[in-house]
Amino acid sequence: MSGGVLALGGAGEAGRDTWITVLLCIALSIPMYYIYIKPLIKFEELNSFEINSKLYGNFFGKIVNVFYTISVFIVLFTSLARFTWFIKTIALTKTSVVFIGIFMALTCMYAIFTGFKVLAKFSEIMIWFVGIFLIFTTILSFFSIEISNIMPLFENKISQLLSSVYTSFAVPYLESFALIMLIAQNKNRKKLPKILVICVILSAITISIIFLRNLLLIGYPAVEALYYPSYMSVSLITLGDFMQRQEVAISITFLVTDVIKISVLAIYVCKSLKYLFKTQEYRQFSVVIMLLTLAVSTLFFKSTAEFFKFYGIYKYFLGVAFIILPTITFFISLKKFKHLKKQ
Amino acid sequence: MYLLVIFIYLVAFLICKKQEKSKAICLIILVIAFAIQTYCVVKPDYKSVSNIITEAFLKGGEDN
Repeated sequence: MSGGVLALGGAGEAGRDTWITVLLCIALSIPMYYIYIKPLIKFEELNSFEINSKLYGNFFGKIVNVFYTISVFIVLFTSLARFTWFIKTIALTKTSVVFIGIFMALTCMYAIFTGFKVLAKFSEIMIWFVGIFLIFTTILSFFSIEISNIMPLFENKISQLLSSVYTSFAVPYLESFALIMLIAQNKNRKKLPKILVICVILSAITISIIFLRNLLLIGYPAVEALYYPSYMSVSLITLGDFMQRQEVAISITFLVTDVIKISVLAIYVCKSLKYLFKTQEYRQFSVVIMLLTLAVSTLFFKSTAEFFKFYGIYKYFLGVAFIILPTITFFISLKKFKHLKKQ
Repeated sequence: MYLLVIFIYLVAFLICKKQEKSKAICLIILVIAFAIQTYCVVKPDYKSVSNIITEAFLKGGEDN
């Protein structure tokens, strides 16, 4: 789910101190994920859609499920647009985004057809490539970095730091809501808290290293001004005449991680439709959902500039959708569980 | 470009037609997607939704 950040890797409101705020957002992510998974652990035999129906009642439960589905769908088409506009900006400048998006949509349709388990296995294999690439570029960047780019530290106000912590928390941690709801359908849910804590710490360290690499390579104003600082910074890494222009690896990493991310989000939407319309299979919705995602992403964004302008307010939407409602669900589940225990 | 879009949607329509229970739901979603896509391709000077939302959000902030 951190794949988009790998390609973007830009500064938040804290400027140079963004790498610190990324580490600080661990303190927000772990309690938030606890709120997400607690109802799922309490009602172990039910999935997330059934839990909403049980807690809010049949009618309001369906409304909550529809709200979550629309919210995840917004994350879905934003992720698709982020990829298509990335490819259009850096490589295929005269190709239509619809044309780029069609191939991405077809790949994700196939990924949804293969199912969540195959997708999990695929990501298990690909994480090694992403990890090796990250270590490789970080080690190679030691030859080109300018240490003074990191200074001065803590030049921002507390309010700017807090705002940056929230931005780092919103993308990608709040975007991971759908993934957590899907992995929590596993029968062995009690192991989840431990797994999620490890994931949050590892991803925060990874994102922090990426930002530090970008900052040390291209400097502060550039890391904030560019749309894709990671792409720019990796293009600067050279090893004499032996090795250069490794930025293509950023595109490959972004492609792999985004296929997984988009497919996971689409599976959540398809499963929700399956639950809402009481059909037997969720895979049959994959074709239409991916085409709808492509159509809406075209309608929503007309340029990279518009996309990044929207990205500024996107974090507030994520807060409403994936902080407020899950917190209400958490407290209702605690009350309901106590009530059931008394009976 | 538009021919490619029509072709993709035609294939999707044939896939959806084969399904049993969810045929109607799939076809409705497909029609909506096709209508949006047609609008975007036929009318390239349309104002994007993100632009409308961002402007409204920023205007709200200025008013406050």
